[in-house]
Amino acid sequence: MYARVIFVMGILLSQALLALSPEETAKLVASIDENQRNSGDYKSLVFIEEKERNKPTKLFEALVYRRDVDDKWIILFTKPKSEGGKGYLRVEKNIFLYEPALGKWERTTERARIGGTNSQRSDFDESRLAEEFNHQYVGLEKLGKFPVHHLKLSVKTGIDVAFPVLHLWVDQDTKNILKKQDFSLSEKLMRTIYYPKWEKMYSRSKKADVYVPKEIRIFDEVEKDNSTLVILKEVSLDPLEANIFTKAWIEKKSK
Amino acid sequence: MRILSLLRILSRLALRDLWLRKIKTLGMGGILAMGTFLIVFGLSLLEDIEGTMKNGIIQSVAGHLQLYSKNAKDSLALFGGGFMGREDLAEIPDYSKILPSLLDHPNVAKVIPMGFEMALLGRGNESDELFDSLREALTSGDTEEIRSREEQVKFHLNFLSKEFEQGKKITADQKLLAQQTSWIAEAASDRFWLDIRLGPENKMQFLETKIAPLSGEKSPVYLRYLGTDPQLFQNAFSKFKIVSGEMIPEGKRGMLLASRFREDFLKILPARKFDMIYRKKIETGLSIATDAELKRIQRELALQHRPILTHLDFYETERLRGELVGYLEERKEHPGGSSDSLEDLLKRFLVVDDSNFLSRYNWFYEHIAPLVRLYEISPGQTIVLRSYTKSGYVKNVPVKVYGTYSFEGLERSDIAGQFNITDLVTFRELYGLMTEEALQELTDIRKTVNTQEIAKENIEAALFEGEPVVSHEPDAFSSSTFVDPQITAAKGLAEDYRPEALRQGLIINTAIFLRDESKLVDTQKELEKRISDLVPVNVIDWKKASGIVGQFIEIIRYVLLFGVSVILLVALIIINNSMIVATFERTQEIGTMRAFGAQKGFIAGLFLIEAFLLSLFASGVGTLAAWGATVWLKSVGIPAVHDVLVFLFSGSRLFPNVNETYMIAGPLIVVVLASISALYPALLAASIPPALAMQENE
Amino acid sequence: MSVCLQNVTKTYPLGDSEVHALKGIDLTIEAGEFVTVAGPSGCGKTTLLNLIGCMDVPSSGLVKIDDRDISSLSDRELTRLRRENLGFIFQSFNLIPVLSCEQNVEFPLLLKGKLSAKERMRRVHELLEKVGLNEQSKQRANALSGGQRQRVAVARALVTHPRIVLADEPTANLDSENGQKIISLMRDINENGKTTFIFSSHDPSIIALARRVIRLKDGLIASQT
Repeated sequence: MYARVIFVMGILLSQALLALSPEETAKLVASIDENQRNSGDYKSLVFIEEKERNKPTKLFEALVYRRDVDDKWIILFTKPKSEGGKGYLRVEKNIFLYEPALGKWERTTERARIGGTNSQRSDFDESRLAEEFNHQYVGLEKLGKFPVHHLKLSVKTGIDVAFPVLHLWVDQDTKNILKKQDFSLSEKLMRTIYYPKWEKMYSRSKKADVYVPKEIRIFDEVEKDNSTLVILKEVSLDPLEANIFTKAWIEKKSK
Repeated sequence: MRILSLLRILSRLALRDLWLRKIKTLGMGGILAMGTFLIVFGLSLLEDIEGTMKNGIIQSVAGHLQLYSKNAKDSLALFGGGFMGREDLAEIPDYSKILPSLLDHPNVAKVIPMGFEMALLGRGNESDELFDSLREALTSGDTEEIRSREEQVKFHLNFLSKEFEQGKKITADQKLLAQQTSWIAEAASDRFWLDIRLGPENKMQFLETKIAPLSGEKSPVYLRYLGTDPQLFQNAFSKFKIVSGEMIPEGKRGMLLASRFREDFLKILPARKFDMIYRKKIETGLSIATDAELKRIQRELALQHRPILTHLDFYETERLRGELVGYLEERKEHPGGSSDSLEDLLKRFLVVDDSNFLSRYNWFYEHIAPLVRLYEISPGQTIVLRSYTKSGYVKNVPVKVYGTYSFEGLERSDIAGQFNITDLVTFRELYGLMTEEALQELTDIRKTVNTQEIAKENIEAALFEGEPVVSHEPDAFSSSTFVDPQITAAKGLAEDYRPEALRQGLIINTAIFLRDESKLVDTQKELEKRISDLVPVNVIDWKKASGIVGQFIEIIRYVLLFGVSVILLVALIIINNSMIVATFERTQEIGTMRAFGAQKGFIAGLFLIEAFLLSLFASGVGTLAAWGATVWLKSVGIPAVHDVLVFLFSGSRLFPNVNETYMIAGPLIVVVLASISALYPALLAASIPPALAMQENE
Repeated sequence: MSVCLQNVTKTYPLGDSEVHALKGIDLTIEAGEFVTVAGPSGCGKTTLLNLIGCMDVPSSGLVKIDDRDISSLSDRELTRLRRENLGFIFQSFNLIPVLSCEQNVEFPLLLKGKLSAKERMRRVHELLEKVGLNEQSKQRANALSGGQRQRVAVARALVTHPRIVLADEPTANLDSENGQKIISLMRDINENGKTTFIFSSHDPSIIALARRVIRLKDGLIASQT
């Protein structure tokens, strides 16, 4: 279940920044990747609500720290009380779990951690949409009252991704993704994700404005009752302390 | 008197006739004897097994009765049935509400609260363990400790680098391998260790993130545990015994590992393989050369030098190497020079065959086992259990292992030896039912975030019809005002608890011991009614509670009875048939007897007595054989060659008892049945007219 | 003990038709007689002996043993009548093969009961002595020769001291010498005691030994002396 949280972070960050040129689909897709790569440090306070079939609804509040250049991130839980101080540190392919009640660390690999959930490698890796996908302009559509570009992306041959087919609905005005659907190879719909709220921010590292999503709603289309709501209460793109992505820093923070 | 003398003649004639038809008599008698043997021996053996099994079940964990919530979606199966799944047994929210009422029943002697669940036993690989110790040493600042840990890590790195050297030949991804080899080289370099005490964090992170994954991943171990009142449990269940370490002290949170579980899952692999071969080869008597399964284990054992090396106290490596050279040279199994590495020697040592196995096995336990950490977990250690709680959140709970236990006689049973015992306080923490308080907290969080519940059906309208989707940061160029909230780390559970806690609060089920077992059925009904007035519950007997194994005995009984019925049916058909044939063969003889004044009853009696004597004799032989077999087996015992048998026998051997009831009932049944089957031929013979004596049969 | 037959007929069913074995026999045999029933095979000899031996009842007419109509007797009573008063000798000897000579001879005594084992043995050996087979008394019946067997059968027929001995072709399975011997034996016993002997035969040399001859032909008495 933490894997789902982590997966959400992946989505959150990989789609975070969109600055694009309008009609040219290729350019649009390429710029998603481009903006992704150039992002600096990132910090947010997120609220997550996970609904699962036959299970009680879970709520979390957590701090997320991310430094893409080093491929590192931290998730530090703040609420509820029973989860307070639990932390995940990702360094390279390892994820370390900190349990404050024990004062102990546990190392697992990404693969092991994610195994058995609907999270995918692509949720964590850098966005390589232009490199990995062929794209196709489907048409101009309306999503609610917003005019959107509907794009269809299918994976290039020889490349292994979790969802070989993606559909994107991009806001014409702001060029933000408002809706995304993931499909399997047989074009079975796997999940639908909405990004209904965006915030325009200034990134010092990029020296330009970027858009960050403030709310994400994920619906599992296979397990129909499973859904996740993510609300980003606070976001900051300011540089983080240099030594933040260490066990010692988390231990100190989680006292 | 006349009847008696008639009977005498009849018996004499019948006996003579049976004697004359020896082959037929032997055949029929044999089948009848076998049938009797099966009835007497089989049924009485079954009764013995049922007795031992019952005792085993009641006295290990079931008690006479088990009580659990009626809201349970699954039925209680103490020894499995639901297999590794988590059964949903619901819960009894407050034990203190039902306990007085239970104890109030005149036939209730003891009540033991319980709860079964599963947790994941977290564990890293060998590298993780070594690096953890090093990190701890560095934090503590103990120079001696740091040096010792350092050397251990270096030894391990050296070992890893050798392994990767060998890996070159077989690895496809040479680029990755080269990179990994360079990491190991860097970690093993003097430069790396020079200033480790000054800036440990980066170095440790290097080891933990780059080196640790190279040792591979351990598969997680699922640990089934029983939460109870440990002291009460110990007093109530006579088969419970501590194997190593000590009992969980009163008022302390703790765990007793099931000895069998520890052997099966927490022992280092080479030792486990040695044990497996020992069991199959020495105890069961199979041979490595011919048994495919054994051969497979033998091949696996041959590859197990690595766990020995990594678990070896590294100060002991040179000594072990010397001893191993001595051992192998003595047996002329050491063609290499004495300069061979310990690794090479171990590889050679672990190749066992039928002739050297016992020697290797003994040497392993005498010389190698004391130098390695034989078990991953030992008494005194604190382990961390991870459970997926009922509230949905994951909980990691530390619990100290005080000792290991097993059930008397069931030491070798995998069925009975798979749950570990802990206190109810730890159990409840791991079970993690959502509390009112926690629920309120979630509601509060939701309120502060002000989330909107939107159904998927109309989500697009709800999300994209209203406000513009983009908001602007008020001052794009200023620094963020975002300050990290204060984090309050969740407190761990204390090591002590109040003893009253065991008598109140959540439980899943209880074992109930009765004063008078013969009133079990009545008490079961009474308790179910009495407690259901407070909380709806099921009360089931030990047999049902034991799950599928408890019903196993019934299945065997039906199979046996079916077998006996078939055998007896065949015997009776044969008797019937051959006697009908005999009446035709003996027509003249019967006619002659009739001519000389034998009444019809006499002729019928002749046939009946023949069947009677035959069945009496045959069933006597069968009964005697069953008695002999039982007496013999009582002296030597029946070995439990399979795990299920260990459970059924409640020990490694069963010593059956002579059962008088079956010794009388068995032959009686056979004689009555045989006599009945002779009835028709007897009447047929009696109806032969005397005039047939005169008929010539040429 | 006298035997009296009045207009006796006997019919056997044979498939759909009937066989008229006896077609109206009138006959009286007094106690102590030595009678042979002669005639070709199929003339009704065996049927006649069966009726006299109380092993069957007539289809019509009367068979009286000591003035008792056997048709009025139950199977039990007939059996008792045979046991108490009659002895039988059969063409194929009909010894019980599993038993020794001694036991075969003893058998009717056992059925009769009353006697002690000692008394039974005394009588058995007395008779075996008489038929000259005391030596072979322990031998199995089927280990003996035909003549010996028939002598055992004679001993058996006489052991209960019956008033009438019925013998159906007693010499048919014997050579003429043995046949002669058996008939002589029977005659000796008849002369020394009061036992009535009724035997059937078709052998003229045997018939010649009888004191009274009843000739049957096609179920009727052709002649009698």
